[in-house]
Amino acid sequence: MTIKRILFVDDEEDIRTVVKVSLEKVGGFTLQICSSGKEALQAAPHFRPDLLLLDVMMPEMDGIATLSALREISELKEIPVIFLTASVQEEQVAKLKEHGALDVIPKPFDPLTLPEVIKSICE
Amino acid sequence: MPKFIRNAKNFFLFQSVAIFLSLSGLFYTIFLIRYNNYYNFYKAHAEEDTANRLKSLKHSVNTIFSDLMILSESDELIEFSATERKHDKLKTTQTFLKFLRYKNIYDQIRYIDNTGLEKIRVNYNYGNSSIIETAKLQNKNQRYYFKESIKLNKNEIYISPIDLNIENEEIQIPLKPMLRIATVIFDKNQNKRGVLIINILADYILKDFDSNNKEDSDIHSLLNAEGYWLKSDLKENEWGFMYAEKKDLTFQNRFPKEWSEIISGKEGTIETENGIFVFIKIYPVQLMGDFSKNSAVFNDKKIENRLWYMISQVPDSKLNEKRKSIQHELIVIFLIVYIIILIFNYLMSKYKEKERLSEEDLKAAQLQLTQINLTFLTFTQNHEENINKITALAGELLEGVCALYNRISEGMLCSLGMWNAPADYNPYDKPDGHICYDVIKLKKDGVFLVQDLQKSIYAKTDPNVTAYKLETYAGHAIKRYDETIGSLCVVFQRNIQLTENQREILGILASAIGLEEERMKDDADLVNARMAAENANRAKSKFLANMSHEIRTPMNAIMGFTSILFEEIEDPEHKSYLNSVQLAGKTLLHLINDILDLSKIEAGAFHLENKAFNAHELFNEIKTIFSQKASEKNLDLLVNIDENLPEVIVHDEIRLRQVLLNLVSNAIKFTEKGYVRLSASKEIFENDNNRFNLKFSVEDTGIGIKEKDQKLIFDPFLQATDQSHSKYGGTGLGLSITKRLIEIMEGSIFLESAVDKGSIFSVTIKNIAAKVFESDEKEDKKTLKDLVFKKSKILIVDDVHESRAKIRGFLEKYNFEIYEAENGKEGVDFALEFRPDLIFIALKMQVIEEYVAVKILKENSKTKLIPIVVLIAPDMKNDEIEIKDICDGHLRKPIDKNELLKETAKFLAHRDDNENI
Repeated sequence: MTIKRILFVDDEEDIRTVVKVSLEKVGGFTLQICSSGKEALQAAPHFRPDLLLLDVMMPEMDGIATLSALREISELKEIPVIFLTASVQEEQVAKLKEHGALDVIPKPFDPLTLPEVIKSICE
Repeated sequence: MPKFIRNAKNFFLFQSVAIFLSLSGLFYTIFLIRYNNYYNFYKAHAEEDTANRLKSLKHSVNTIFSDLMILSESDELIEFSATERKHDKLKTTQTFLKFLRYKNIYDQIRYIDNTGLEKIRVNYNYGNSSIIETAKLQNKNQRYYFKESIKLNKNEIYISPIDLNIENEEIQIPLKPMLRIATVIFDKNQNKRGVLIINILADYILKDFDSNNKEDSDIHSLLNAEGYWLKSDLKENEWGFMYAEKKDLTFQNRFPKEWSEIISGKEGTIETENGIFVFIKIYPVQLMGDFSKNSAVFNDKKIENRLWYMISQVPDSKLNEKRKSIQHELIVIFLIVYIIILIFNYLMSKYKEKERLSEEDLKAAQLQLTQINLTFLTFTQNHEENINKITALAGELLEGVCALYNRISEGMLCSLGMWNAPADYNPYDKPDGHICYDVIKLKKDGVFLVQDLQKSIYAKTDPNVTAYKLETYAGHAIKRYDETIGSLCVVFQRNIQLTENQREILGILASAIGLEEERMKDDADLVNARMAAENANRAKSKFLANMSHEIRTPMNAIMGFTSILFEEIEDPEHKSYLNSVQLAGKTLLHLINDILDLSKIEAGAFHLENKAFNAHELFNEIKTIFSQKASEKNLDLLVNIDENLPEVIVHDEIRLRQVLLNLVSNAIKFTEKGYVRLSASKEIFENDNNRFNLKFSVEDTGIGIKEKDQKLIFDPFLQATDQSHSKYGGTGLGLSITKRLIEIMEGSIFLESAVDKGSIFSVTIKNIAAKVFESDEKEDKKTLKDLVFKKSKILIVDDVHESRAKIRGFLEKYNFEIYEAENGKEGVDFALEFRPDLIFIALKMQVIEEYVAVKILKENSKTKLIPIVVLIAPDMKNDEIEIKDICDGHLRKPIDKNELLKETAKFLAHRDDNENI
């Protein structure tokens, strides 16, 4: 699958900045960055992403809840998702995959190789 | 022994009766023997006495006969009889007088001439001798004694009957029994001149029949021929023939039966109810001995008239008295002996009863101990159930109406163990007033026994005492360690006394409850401690996970920005700074990962995920990873893999890689020259070709480790003492985690090291499965893509939409009709309605709905043949076996496509390549 538009949700501003540099500058993706699930729900229908890149531990709506809510949008029902998380325990990773994640990228990630990682996952 | 005699009382009665009968028989025999002895003795004595009296009588009679003959032959009398001269008369009279005085047994001596005229008469009259004047002499020719004696021939003697002397036609008083003997007097020319008559005081003869001995109670009698008593035990019986009014006083009238036997015999012994009668028939003339040959021979009739009967009687009164005496004596002895025997018998019975009871008690105690042991053997981990069993055992063994184990809990008296408690019994009550509470409160030692409960204070204070009419309470305090916490009691509706055995049983069972209470407390403490530890561990894990998350996020920013800056900045010095930041970030990240791993290992939350993988590839991958670093240090990195090591093994590849990475990383870090060698081989089992021990080692020619540090380096945060942290860095957790991981893999690690020479870390991981999947796996990968399934219906039951979508995605390119259900109920309804060919059901911990669904489907005749594959959540570890038992197959999430296809192919018809379905 060809990924061009990525909707990224993370409550940490630093991470949002690093990802923005990584995916936009290094990877050349079109990025919609949101700081919360609610924000993502508002932005997603207009942005029409090819991929969701979600943080897991977020206040109010965590990554899984955000994904479930986004999947309620008919256009995003089958959209692939990759989680970006600092919780790297096996059970957590398995749980995320169970919820339909293509893969889970642990934090910290290398911004220089992140685009390649995403591409390889999506292939 | 008959059963009823086993009872001590019956045994005593039985023995008493038996002894009574035996003793009675024995004493009766003794009585007979003794009485017979006495009887025979009396009889013999009477016979001997009779013989002696006869001898004495003979002597008396001989004396008087010889006296008569002497006088009759005196010269003076013969001369006088012929001459009748005065001179001769005088001489004769003098002789008679002397004779009377000398003999003192005669009353009178007379000479009567043949005409009957008295010629000489000398009286003695008990010492008052007198010579009767001639003028007073009488003619006695009409007297019977003269008439009979004058007829005698020479040397013949006449003996008169014994009778009472009559004077002046009246019986002389006092009575003077008299016997007259006479003989005829011949002169020198042998002419019969007259008769010599001597009156003998019959007392001289009759004295032999007096009872000389007071102790001799025999009756001695002398009877005349008619049976009149001449001598009797009763004076009034004597001389009956002399008195007209006593004519009936005869022996015959008194003892007619005996008399008839006496008169028919000469002598003998008669034994009748009146006693023993020893008799001898005596003819006085025959008593004369030497004189008898000269005695006159009377005609028979006359002889018969002159006979006497000498009788000695042992009276029946004497025999009766003796019999009674013996009886009394024997009865007394009998009673004494019987009482002694009874006492002895009683004591023996008591002793035997005690012995029997002791034996029975011993047997009962053994049985009871066996019962207790058997009950103890049935104990489970359920302590409350065990306590109930002990309580019931106490009630049964002590045979009470009810048994309770009461404990004070939160201020209330609670019955935790109950046996036979009434339906309306209240197991929770305020403790005050209850006997049990006294046992607990007063910390009673041993058995606390209260009898007569209805009369005791407890009748007023303990509601159960009156409600259930209790009479006896037997309780024992329960101690948990040193604290008295409750009481075990058995109650009775009658007054009883506990035996020692019962007391011991109550003590044993109370101790058993105490132990159960201690175990229960230990378990509770253990559970609390475990919960506390688990809570602490969870808190620690959560803290570490959070910390990890919290650190990783800013680390991500640091390292991310560093990485971006590194690309932006050109100045080499600045780049080196950024490099240092990057390196520090990596070290920090490594530390975080290590801490997380160690924490998981210590919390026991570390589980191996065993899967088949290519071991050769893993070892070669390690070489690839470190080859650059080794090359940078100019080290040789050698990998030697034994060709016999199976390519595909089943183990946790990730953790094995972690161990290898740690060991090889360390080896390169601490080696400045030489080589690092990774070797791998297998150690085979003798009897199992499918399993082996994996052995690998990492050898280096580095700085080595001092012997004292060789053990320390496996402890967390410890490094060798001379290891320069600034030079080598490291967290000190790597080897510790490695060792723990190997232990989790049921393996071991062994270190050989020498300073400045190098180190060898040898690892053995035991019991690894080999080969099983090697060919299959390869085959699977090759063929799964080519599977062509027959058209089938598949039902996916999972509450997670993404999971259902994932499986659908894996399977939809095949020839399946795929249906989805969100929960167990929906799945069951669908399966019953549409009968799919295969069902995938996702199971989660603590969600039982899907388990119930599986059970319903497998029990329903319409669906039980439909294969069910359960999808197990990642966090379910130990339930796999149980799930396998109730289902046809299982897959662990996240679902692997190949595994899903393999599992599907097991149950649904398919073909491979050109193979027909």
